[in-house]
Amino acid sequence: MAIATMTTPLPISLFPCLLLIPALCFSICHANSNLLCIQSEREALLKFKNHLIDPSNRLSSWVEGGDCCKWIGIVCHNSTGYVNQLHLAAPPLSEPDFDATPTEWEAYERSKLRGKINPSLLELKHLSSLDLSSNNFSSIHIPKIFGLLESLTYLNLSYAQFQGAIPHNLGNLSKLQYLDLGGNDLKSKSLQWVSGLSSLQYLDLSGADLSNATDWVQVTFKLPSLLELHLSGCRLEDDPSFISVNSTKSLVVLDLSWNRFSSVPKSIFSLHGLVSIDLSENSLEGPIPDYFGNISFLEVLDFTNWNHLNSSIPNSLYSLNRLQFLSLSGNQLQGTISSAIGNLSSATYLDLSENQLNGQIPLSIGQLSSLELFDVSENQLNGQIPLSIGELSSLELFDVSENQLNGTFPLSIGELSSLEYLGFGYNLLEGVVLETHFSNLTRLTTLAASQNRLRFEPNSSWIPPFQCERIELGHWHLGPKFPQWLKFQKKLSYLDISNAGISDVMPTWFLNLPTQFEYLNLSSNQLPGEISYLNVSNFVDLSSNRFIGPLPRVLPTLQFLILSNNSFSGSLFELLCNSSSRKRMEVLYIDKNLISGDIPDCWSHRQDLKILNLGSNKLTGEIPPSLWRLNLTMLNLRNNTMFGELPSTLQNSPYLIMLDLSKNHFSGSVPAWIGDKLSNLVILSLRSNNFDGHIPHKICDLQFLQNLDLAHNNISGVIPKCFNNLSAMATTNKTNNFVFAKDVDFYLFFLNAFLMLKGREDEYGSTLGLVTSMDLSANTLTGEIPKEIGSLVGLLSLNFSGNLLTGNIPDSIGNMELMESLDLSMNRLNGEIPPSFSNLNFLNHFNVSYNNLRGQIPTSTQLQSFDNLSYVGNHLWGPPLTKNCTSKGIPTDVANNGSSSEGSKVNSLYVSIALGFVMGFWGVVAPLFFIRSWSIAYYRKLDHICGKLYVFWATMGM
Amino acid sequence: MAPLAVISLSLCFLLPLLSPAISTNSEGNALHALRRRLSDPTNVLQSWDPTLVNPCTWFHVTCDSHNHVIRLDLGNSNISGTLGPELAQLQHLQYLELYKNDISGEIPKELGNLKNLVGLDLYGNRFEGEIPKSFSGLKSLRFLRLNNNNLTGSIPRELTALSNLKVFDVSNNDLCGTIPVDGPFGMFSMPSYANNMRLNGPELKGLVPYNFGC
Repeated sequence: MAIATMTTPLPISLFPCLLLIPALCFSICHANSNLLCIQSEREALLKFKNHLIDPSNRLSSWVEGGDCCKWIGIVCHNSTGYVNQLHLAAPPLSEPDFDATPTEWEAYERSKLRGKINPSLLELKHLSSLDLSSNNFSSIHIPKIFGLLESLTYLNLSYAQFQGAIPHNLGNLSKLQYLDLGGNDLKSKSLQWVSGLSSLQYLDLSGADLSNATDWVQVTFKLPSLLELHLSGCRLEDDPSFISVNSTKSLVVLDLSWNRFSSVPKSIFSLHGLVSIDLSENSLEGPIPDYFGNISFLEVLDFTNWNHLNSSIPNSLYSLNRLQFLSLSGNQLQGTISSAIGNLSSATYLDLSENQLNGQIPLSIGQLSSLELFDVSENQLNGQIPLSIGELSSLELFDVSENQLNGTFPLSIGELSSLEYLGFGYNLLEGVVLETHFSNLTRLTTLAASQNRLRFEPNSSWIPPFQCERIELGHWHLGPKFPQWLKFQKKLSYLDISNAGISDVMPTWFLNLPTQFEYLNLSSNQLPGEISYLNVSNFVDLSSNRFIGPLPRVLPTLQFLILSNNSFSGSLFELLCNSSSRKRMEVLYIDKNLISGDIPDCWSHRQDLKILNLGSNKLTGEIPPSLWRLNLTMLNLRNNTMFGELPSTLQNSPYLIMLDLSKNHFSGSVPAWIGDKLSNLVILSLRSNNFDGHIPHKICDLQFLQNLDLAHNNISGVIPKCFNNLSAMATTNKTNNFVFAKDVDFYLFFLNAFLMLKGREDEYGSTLGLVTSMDLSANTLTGEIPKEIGSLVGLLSLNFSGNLLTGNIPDSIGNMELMESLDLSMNRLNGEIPPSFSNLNFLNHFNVSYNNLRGQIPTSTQLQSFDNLSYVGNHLWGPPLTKNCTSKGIPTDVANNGSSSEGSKVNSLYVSIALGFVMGFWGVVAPLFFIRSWSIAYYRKLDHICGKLYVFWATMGM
Repeated sequence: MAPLAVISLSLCFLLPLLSPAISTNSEGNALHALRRRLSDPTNVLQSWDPTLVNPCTWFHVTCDSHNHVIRLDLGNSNISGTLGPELAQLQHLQYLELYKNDISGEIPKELGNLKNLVGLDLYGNRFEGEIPKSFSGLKSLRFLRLNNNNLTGSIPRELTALSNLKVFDVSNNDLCGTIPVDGPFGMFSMPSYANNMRLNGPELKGLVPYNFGC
């Protein structure tokens, strides 16, 4: 996982420093001056102010009669008194964090200037620096008057919500050194205007639509003084008509990220002075060009994400000993990481995550003494974590998760005293982790190490040296005692200690830790006892433990509550009905518990609930009417003792993807509106109930239906011919392994379902999207099997057994080449098994027993691999049945016939031949062993005889 | 096991609430190892999720009621690659159906440990090397079809101990020596041996070595 939140060097930007230093100097120097500002300029500024909207009154110092040189944002020339600089970049505070409160955001927004820009600014003849960045001039164009401010050397209008075409007269500002128009909603059909900016050193047009400005290379690469060029997110594409450019040698920083290049623009190969190249978030294909390895001054190289670079890492890259920042994350790079990586002696940020790299992490990593971030997660690396990691004393982030690393967890990691993020989850590490592994990790905030084969049982008095916010130790062996050391984690908000062999009672301090958990996963332990409340704000998984007693109380903010597979008992009433406030719960799993009583009718406050699984409890009664007020995606009530007909209100759940009501006592007919109203169904199981009536033809309209199970009911009538319209069963290409429940918060949940396939019931989850099955067994269906069934070529499993079906087996079933499980047993089918069944080479479960079938069982590797029980109770013959046939229809026993009698003929032949040879052996062959010259001549002859014998024997055998 | 899993869109990482990422099931591991050896252009192995506790829900894999793998049905699947010794972990396997693919390399001798194997169909591939002598350990074997490969060497005499063998086919290979006559080999007809240019007719016991001409 690539995490770029560290304080690591981001692609460098040299220029702001160059300009800020003089700016600071000006303001300090000016403080001592007694000069009053020029009156005309003061009036111009006031006029300018009057046309602005200033909600937070930032310009309160701008008043009539004052010294405008002392106004906020103004810098005057220290000898002439002319206004020299206008710095109204807003807001003075930086942008709030992602998770800042609405109040903080509001304050931030209020501090922005709005309104119009008055031409009075033109009065400021000596204005050399103008900064209006980060304000909110929403939906006005950049005023053309800026192009008339001839003295400007610095113009920053970035992130100020300007829109429309960039005025070309900005190109008249021949003294301009710095131009930043990035982060606005601008466009420009040509960059010809830029060629007039002969002094320009810094240019940022990021975010502007330059898709038509095909001259961008021609213009920008020729600017004689340009040091830094940012064209990020400008919709630039490959230029097929590449013309070589006589490029400037001056360009140092080039940012072409977030564009649409599929290959590295060749024109940049002529730029020999580059220090920083950002091509991240394009769609680059093919190998990494060797060119980059030849730019010996390179300090930043960024190919992150969306690119599809698929070579190995070119060796030339490893020679870039000035390289500080290298990100090749999110490509398709193959091959190994060379030990030459140790040559990148300046590296501070090294991100090779999300590729297909294999081999080992080189020991030479330990030489990168400046390294702050090292991320090789999500590759196919194997071998051990090198001990030399311990030498990286500046390392703040270390992530090797999701590889195939084995061996032990090196003790040397404990020496990384700067480490804040430690990730090595989803590997094959083994052995014991000791307290000393963490001895110096005092700054650690994230420990993400789930899914290894590690054991960690510190002394019960151990106090960790760190205060983590996030701890993931799922599948570690931490038990049987509850980890006492968690008591000292005062900032913990995310904890996964699932499947950790803990069988202790959950201590009372655990749910009274100073911080509230946001995420808590204690699943698959053996935690016993009652649990009265859960102090968790967002996500709880307590599944597969030994919890008993009533369901716990939860916070109203909780979105995910998973209590499956415990022994919780009592009613649902407290949990569901006890509060009238609107709940945020989206996912509720209480399946496989001992919950009893009716499902209470108080669902109207839970409008966010999408997924409800109450399967395998002791629930009774009817489905409550208010349940259908929810926009459920999944409803699972299987294996309870509920009854009643399907309520017509069920029609109000159009988003249902899965409906499993199997193993209850529901009755009535299968409603026809299922096909109309529940058009998103992928899984429909009404198995083992008391449904009767016919299968409604409307069911054929369910175009997404992959699994239909109506088995073990009292359904009569015929199998609808229109089943061939079930298009999801008729396709062999399944792209999604999962069945996702969409729109569940910002998560995607994948659903699980119990399905009867291959003659057994299994739970399918991570591959449910691939499964297609139809089970109509054990009903009273009559008539013939429609030949249209054969169009459902995507079906893996088809079960029509235990009905009253008549007629022949349609030949078309032999076309269903993905079929693994086919059961037509216990019907009244007649005729032969279609020869086309020989095509079913994936069959692993097959049953046609107890029908009226006759004739020979077709021959195929699969059909003969099943035992008699698949065929008994018919008039069939041929293998694997022991009955065989001499003439059609008359079975005889195989022992007296067929190949074995043929065999005995051959045997008598062998005997006579062998006898003859044995008789002659001592007379003819034995001397050959003793007389060398004879022997060679004889064997030549024998070879010839054998050849003849072979032909003779072969004729006999036919 | 928790009943579901979550994928966060924003961070694109999987929180596997459902399942252990590393199966502790040795049979699942063996099959997963097989998958890694194979190239699978038509995605017939798409359902082979190694994070599941057992391989019983994988397509083309069949388990018995104790969740032991008893069948592997991958005939005609467009797979290529090689087989490895790990298949011997499938101790309960009854049918190994890998016919009509593009699998190459030698037949692992470890397959001889599959005491419950009833059907072994490797025909129609590009296997090379010899028929493993260890196949004499396949005491339950009834079907052994190795035809249409590039197998060399002689037919191991150890196979005559396979008393249950009913169907045997090694035609269209490059075998040599003579044809066994003992045990079940008494009843196999000539087409089972056709098109092995250096296979020299029935064994002449006591007269010439069985690998005569190899």
